[in-house]
Amino acid sequence: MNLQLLLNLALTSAHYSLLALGLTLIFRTARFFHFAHAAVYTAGAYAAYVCHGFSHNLPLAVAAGAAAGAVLGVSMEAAVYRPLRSLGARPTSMLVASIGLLFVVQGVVSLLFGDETRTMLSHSQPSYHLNLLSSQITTIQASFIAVAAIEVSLLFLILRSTRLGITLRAVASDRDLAKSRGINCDRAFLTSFLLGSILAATAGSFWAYNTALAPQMGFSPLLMAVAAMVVGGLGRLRGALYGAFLVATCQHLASWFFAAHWQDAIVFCLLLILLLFKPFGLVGRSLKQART
Amino acid sequence: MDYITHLCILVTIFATLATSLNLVAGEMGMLSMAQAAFYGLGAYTSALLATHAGVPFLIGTMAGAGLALLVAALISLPALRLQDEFFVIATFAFQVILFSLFNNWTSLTNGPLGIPGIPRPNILGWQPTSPLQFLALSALLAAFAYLVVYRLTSSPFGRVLHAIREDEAFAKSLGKNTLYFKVSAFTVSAALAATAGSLYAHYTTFIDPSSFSIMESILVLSMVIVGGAGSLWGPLVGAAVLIGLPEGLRFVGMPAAAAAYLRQIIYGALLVIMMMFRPQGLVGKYRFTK
Repeated sequence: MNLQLLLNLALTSAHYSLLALGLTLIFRTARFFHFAHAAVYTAGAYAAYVCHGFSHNLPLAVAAGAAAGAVLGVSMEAAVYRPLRSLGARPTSMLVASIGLLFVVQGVVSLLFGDETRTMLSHSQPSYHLNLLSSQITTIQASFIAVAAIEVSLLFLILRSTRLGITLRAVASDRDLAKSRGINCDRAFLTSFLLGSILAATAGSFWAYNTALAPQMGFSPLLMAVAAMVVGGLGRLRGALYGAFLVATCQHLASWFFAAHWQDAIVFCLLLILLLFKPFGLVGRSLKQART
Repeated sequence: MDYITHLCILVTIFATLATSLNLVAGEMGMLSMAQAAFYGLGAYTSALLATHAGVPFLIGTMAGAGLALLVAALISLPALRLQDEFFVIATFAFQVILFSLFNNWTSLTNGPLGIPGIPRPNILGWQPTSPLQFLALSALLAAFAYLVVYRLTSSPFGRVLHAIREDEAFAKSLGKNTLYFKVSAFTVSAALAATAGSLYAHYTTFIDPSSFSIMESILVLSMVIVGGAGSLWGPLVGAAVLIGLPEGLRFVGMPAAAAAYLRQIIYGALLVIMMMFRPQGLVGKYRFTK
């Protein structure tokens, strides 16, 4: 186990944990799988790409990406999910609608930017490496890990000790009771979409810098985020964090021992086995707790 | 004209797929995201048997259906114990795994390059050569799938499936072994999908993994939902609409690339719109609401 592997692991975990945390935050308040989270990720990446074209400034581009993602996520909730909820839609029909939204956004992105893979940094530009004990990490990767860590800690801080966070937790644990105490549930849903989308879009923007952009770029990280979310026990934020780490570890081990293209199959085989024995995750609750 | 016939053949193949998925998603209310996996399993089994061992079409198809039946039974025992979204995730995982096998097991499936040169079907000496003859064959299969689902759902078996959809705990309380019913419906549905896959492979004479991805699964699911889950005609209508509508774009002079993206947008928008304004689908009765 060398340092390079650990650095790569940290990078992948940061990537997945941002997505998985957002997904989990939305799942525990709004109670459905928000597949269009991948669309928010992609939209953030493309917004960063456009902004980068104007300014060539990474912090600005990432901020623009996060803002665009936040707007998209919030408008999905306001325009589609809220009306559906008021119609009394089941979680499954919300899920179907979110798949529809994912398709729409992917299609729009393809229509605007074309289907081809794009890169942000041209090859002529020097890429800056930090050298740490004979292992390398680019400045972009290092700043991504740092930003991810800051965002995750901020999210936990908000949830733990602000009024907003307490509201979110109340709605997550019992929507009807929260309502009866005068909490505005619609606003809580909006907030969770806002926070979750910012996390996802940040990840998307940084990943666009780190690798490349394509309209379908959000799908594969979403798969892994879903796996992380289930592994960590559905709806448990800290679990999602552990889950992201476990999935990333699994992936790296899979490509270490087998070949990189078997990653998906191996991660999802393990997920299926886990679903069989512990559907509520490795650190999850018992079935009884989860049902209530 | 041949182009129209080709479209009709596609519609009938997808109608078969959607009908088979309807048995699980519509009649039983469990959204499976793995229909394209079984479709691919049938296609690959039959195609590999035909190209490597010269196995005739009918036997290859039966082998594909049998394999799908077996795999479905294996996967359904754990998956069908799960409820709602957990079932969706489990089938989703299964779809990802099978796609990965089609795509990466290069020594067997030839990976992304696909399998060329699959022979046209030969059924007891009769060989459909013209597209119209082929259309007759694929329509026959769609009719067969329709009949199977019709017979199943109009029987006591079907009433238990409906009971599971409405309230599984209640069905259990009446002494029904719901797992048995769920597994049977799931395996029958998988075998039908595999049959459609085999027909598709022998029709196009070339298959590659892209036809059996999660996107195809979602497309089939969209057909069921847009047409009307839980109704016998719904999946047929859904297949016709979702194949026909985007093809119409080609005729109004849309460039091919833009048409492909627009098709994706239409699929997505249709899903959202149906969920909001007509959750029971175009011709269906069952709503995904409580």
